Amino acid sequence: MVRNQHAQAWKSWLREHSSRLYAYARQRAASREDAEDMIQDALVRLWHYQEERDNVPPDLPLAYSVLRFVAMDHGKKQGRKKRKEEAIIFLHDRDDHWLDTSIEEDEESEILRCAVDSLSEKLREVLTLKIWGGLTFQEIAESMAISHNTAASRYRYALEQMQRKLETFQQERHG
Amino acid sequence: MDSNRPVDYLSSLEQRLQAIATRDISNEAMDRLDDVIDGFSEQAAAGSTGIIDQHPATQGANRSWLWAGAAAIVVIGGGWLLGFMGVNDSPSDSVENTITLNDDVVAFTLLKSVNRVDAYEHDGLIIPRDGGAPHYRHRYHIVDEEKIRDERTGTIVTVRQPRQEVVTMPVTQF
Repeated sequence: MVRNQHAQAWKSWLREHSSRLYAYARQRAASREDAEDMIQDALVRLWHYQEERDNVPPDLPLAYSVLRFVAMDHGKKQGRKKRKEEAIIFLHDRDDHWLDTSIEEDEESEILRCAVDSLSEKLREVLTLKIWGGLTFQEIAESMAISHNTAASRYRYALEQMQRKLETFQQERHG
Repeated sequence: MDSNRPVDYLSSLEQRLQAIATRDISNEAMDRLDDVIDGFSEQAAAGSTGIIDQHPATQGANRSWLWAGAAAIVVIGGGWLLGFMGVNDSPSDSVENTITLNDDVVAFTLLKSVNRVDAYEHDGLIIPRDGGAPHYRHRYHIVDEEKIRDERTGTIVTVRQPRQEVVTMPVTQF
């Protein structure tokens, strides 16, 4: 009975945070399938870890932290060369983009997505956790094992880079 | 409240980014994750799960339990594959076979079994020096693929076994 309650609690937790976890995993993965595999792997690790902690669902920073390590493992397995090839496909495969392209169809959204893609991994990671992951800088710092100030400065640097890129994109498009 | 807020001109960019929706995990993957949770829950009820105190992010550093499980799955899956090879020469997409560890617990379910021809080579006309019959030789590179689900954890394992088949066609007339 109690076990069943735990299972229900985990399922509810998963439903509540699935889009956030997926957004984070997807921006590090080459495909939807890889991102979903990462989430499954992270879930297995988290379940075993939480068993000794009353088996309650984990908090989000811990989940992101585990997902991050799973993604790093996955990246190592894929190999550097293959990842580069897949990243090219990922960036150009509009239908499979991790940000939803079907809802926001205006030009600005498309430019914003391109600008996010063009960020370095470190900057994009912090930006994703802050904007779509729902974490504070303190939680991002815990999750990524960096200082609060580093998290905040990476975020600000990401926004500044994006602002410059947006201006460039808009100039290119409209002369 | 975060202390390091970006300056105002970046706040609008922040708001525009927040307006972009993210995609969600697929229904199929969500069902799979539910199965994983149910599997763990049942295992825990049976008292068969081991508690891991190591931080989950670094569990990869000590994966003996995982490797043991994976090895068992591969061994069972491989044996199973060999068993199927003799009778399953054509592709079949809807195989539903199960293997049981005891009478009431289904351990593995075979989801898919496919024999795929990956490549073909024609070696041409072979004339043996020992005076044997001339023949044409064809090589087929075949991959036998089995997709198996571990019913206890919901893990789906794909076992691929590449092999080569050589077919000779005797030349009866020139």
